[in-house]
Amino acid sequence: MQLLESIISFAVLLSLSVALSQGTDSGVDDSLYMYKLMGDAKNVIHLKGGFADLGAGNAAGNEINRLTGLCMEMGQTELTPSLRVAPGAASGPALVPVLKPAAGYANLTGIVRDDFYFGPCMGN
Amino acid sequence: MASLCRGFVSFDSLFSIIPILLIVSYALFFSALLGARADAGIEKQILFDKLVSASDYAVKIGAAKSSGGGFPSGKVEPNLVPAGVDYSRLAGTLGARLRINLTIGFAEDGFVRSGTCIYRLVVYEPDMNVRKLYFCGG
Repeated sequence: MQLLESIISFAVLLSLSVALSQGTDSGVDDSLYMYKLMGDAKNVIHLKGGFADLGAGNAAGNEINRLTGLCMEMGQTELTPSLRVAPGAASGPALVPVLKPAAGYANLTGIVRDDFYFGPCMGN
Repeated sequence: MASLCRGFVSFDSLFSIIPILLIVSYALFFSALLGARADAGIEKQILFDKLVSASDYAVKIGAAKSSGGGFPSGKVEPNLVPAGVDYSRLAGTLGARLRINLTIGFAEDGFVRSGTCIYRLVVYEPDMNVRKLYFCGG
């Protein structure tokens, strides 16, 4: 009976340890690195004249995509169906930036420098 | 009869203590293993963050093109890298500051990557091509 108890205890401990060891196997947090890479992408597009000419910007973006496998999206906007009301201002439809991760290419449709996606490619 | 009872108690204790000792020793071993793994993870994260910091300095100041005199009047172009940058010297300086064995280079120039590596995107001034500047440390 005691042998059975010890076997059961050991099995419980073993399963617990396996579960714990799988839970602690977390990877490196690369969020800061990805943020820095996004800044690189912006600077590279600027250096290639992409903020003055969207064609050059898309060419630079596609070059970055070829090198890194990462996608970018910038400046896409859509008209909201809802009204945006600011204190003391008239209400009306608002243009808001919509960023959809581009699928395998760069898609720069306008210059909205603060709204910029740069990261893993996903389907539109 | 009393001695027979004592014998059973002894056997009972024996069969209880051995599994308990085994379980306790296993628990101690496993907690040590988890601790070592956590330490390795933290060290890996620290090295990665140091590489990010070193690369950030390099692409913004250390290897970036500067013109118009020295600091603070000079103008620096972040992510624009001119030809002739001494990457081994820059890696030596940054590596000594951050206490890591750092190497920097372009894959196009035959740079061999070893250890933990990250890359940063730069524009190489001579041909204005986009390149990946690698930073490896260990």
